Amino acid sequence: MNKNTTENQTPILTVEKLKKYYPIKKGIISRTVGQVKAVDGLDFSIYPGETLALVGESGCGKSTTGRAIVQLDPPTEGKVVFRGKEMASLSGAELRKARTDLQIIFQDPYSSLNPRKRIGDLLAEPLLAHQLAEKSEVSKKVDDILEIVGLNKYHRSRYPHEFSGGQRQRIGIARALILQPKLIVCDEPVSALDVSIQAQVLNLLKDLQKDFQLTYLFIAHGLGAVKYISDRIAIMYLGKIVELAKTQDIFKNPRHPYTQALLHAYPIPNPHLRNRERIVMEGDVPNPANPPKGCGFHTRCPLAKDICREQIPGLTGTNHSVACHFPVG
Amino acid sequence: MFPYIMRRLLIAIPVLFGVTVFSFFIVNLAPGNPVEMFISPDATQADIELKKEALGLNDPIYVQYLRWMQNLLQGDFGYSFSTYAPVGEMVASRVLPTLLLMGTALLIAYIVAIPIGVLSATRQYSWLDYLTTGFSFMGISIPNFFLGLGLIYIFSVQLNLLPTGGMNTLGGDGSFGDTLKHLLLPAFVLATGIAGSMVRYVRSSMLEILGQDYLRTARSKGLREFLVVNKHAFRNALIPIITVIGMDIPLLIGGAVVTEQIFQWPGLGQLTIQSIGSRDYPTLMAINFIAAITVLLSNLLADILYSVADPRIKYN
Amino acid sequence: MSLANLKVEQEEVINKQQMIGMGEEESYLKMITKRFFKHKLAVVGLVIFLIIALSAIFAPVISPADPNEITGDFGVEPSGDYLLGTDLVSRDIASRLIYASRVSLAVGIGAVAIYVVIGTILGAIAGFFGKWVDMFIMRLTDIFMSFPYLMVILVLVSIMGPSLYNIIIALGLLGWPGIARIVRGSVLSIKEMDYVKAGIALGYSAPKIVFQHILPNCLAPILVNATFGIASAIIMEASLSFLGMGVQPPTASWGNMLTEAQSLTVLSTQPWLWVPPGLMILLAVLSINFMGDGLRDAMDPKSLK
Repeated sequence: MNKNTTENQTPILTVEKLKKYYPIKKGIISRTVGQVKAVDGLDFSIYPGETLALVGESGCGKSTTGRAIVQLDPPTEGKVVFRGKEMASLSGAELRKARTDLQIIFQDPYSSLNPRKRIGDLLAEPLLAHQLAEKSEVSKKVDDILEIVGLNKYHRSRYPHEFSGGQRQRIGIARALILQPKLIVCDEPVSALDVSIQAQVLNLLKDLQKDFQLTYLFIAHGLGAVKYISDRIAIMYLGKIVELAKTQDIFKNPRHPYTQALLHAYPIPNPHLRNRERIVMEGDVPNPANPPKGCGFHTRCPLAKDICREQIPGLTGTNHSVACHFPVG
Repeated sequence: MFPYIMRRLLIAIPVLFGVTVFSFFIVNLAPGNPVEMFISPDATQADIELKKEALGLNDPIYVQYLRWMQNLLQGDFGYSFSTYAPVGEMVASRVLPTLLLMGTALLIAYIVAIPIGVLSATRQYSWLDYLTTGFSFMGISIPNFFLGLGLIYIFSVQLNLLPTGGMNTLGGDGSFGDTLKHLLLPAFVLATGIAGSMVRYVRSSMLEILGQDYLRTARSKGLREFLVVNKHAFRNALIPIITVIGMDIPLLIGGAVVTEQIFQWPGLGQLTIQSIGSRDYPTLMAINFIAAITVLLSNLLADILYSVADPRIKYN
Repeated sequence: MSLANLKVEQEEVINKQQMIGMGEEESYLKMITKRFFKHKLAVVGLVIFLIIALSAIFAPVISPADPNEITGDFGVEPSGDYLLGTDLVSRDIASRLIYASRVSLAVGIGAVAIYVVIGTILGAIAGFFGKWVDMFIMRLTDIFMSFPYLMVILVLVSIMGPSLYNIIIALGLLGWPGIARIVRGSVLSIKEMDYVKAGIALGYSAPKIVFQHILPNCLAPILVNATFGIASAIIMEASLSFLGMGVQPPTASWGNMLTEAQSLTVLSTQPWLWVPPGLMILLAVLSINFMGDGLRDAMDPKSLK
């Protein structure tokens, strides 16, 4: 893939001012007394063939974003435009059709497979539901997809509980892949796996991207896995994107203090390079039901000044955007 | 807690309303009208019509319902179609015997079932456990009327120890001891089913708790087994049992109908059967209404007790 | 890194070989069956239940006499002529007992079949669609649960006219709230599972998701509840028939065979009239409750992997 051309293409997916609020209910008649702003105004685009990583601590709204994009938790506000169509405006039948091009891989390989269905049925079901294959071709297609994700056709008659976590995640990938989607939301696909298995699944995802011209939105809670697979990285904090740039820029030239802190939490294998200045965050992530005024990060930011407590910084910059009053570098 | 209770009570209002609408329409669907059943055989058609008009039976059913509801809101349950007595008084005179019967039954059931359930759990797979399991299943499975007849046969007919029915000996002194003698068999019958399922609940609840890590900790501290079971396990095992108490009330009401009929106990259950026989709608409606309130309140009470007993439960 | 990778790959190859060589896959059904048969009481219950069911099916073959035939021998004790004696109308009690098992099983299975369908559909709709649909169905459930069950059945049956079919229908129409609550609860928790989310993302229709992905996974509690439900429906029919509001003579039902024992003379002098049908109810209900207990243990998710 030629990374320099991405900006000139039309995006496959555009997210505009995406918001997802959850009401907090209380009292005798369940009045809504407040809102948890899980996702609070996201703007980004994904271009065909690239991998955009969405990185942040747990609770920052990254998974909610992923689910809002595939319309599992429809957004409270904002637009999700996928291949020129706004998802929220689609009727039930149109949405089901559109979903064949937009798939998701889940974090937990144990709860993402129906325990009562054989693997063969799990994989054949999407094809039959959308009439994408003749009955006679289905079993061949299932065999092929199993082969592609590194399993084999003997696994067809088995149940999910007979597989290991890594194998189950391969089945989950196969299920998403069998509809030949254009974009796959990978919701922390390797976080629940043993470290030794993680690399294999990442390799598989990377190979599949090349072979099938896939586009990924890759959600992760740390920068470790992301460095290897992503083209661009968006860092999220408290429901907002704080920095968005190419992978090498994020790693070499992080501009938001939060990104820097995250990078410092990422161990460097070479001890000779370990003489950098450390930024250590203090305290916990604020409660998203009651976010701090001004910049969401000011409670933990070592560089915070008065303006940070008053004004919310916007995301600025074209190639390397950052939302900070005092960006580093 | 208070807002939760208020909300539950608010929700109970439409539910109660639904219960009354539903039972009113069911009861009034019945073929045959009460007037024909009770007016003397030589009454003319005109007499019957007159009576029907007087009772308001010729009005459309929703008018009858609204009238009934209006009266109810003023605390008036109307007049019985069969005895012409005020339903409120009729029902009120039956409440106490039924409460006495159900209360005694609950008391017997819990006093017997809880210790047995605990014992059975602490000695899982012992002969005592098997025996308890067997008996509790018998208690759940035996129909009230069969058990009742069997007990009358043994204790009244063969041993001549206890009376066969009623609440007091006819022409007797009406003393408490006399009532107690009459109460014993029906209360026992009503208690068996409840006790049987209670033993099962206590046992499984205890078994689950006994397998928890914090009990192993208690034992490893060198605590005596008696204290482990009573201070640590039993209290926590009680919590899920509270919900069962809430579920037992409706069961008791149903069981009371059959039991009171067999033992000629002058309670609400017996009145129900009599009222069904005589198509006495106002009485049936009143009984249904009271029973529904009892069920709703007992459920609410169980939920409140639950939150008091288990600090992890928070209602908002 | 590459070395570690290689090792992992080797391990996975070995893993795969083991899986292929593992022989037949163990399905959920087989697992449950195996565990059920380890439960002694459940097996005892199953055997008793099968005997009762077989005698119900083959009643004409095994009955010594016609259950409704008036023999002219009124209320005679058990003897060589009449295995369990005759009743006050001079009918053969043994034959009536056998035929009555048909009534009990029909009520138990018929009523539960009706309310399981109603309860499952309502519960699934409430749980899956949520919001005001859920609110409405759950309030309806509350209303039905606030009725004193037996009283309403009594009223309903006396309105519809006491008969076998009306009892089945009345019990079926009123029994569903328990199932509806269970199904709703299961659907609510299963709805949040990723495999259901995956189904939605894959563009499956709502009925497909509910019936193929959610309901099969809450089958266990439904089945257990239905089994206990059959037992209580049998008791309910017997109680109604005993009170004279159920199956009407001459059709034999275990419940109406006991009606005569309400008279003190019958109760004290002719125990063969009322003890056998009472024992049959106890036996039938007990056997079904044993099976229900076995099923519950066998399907307990806590002890399943």
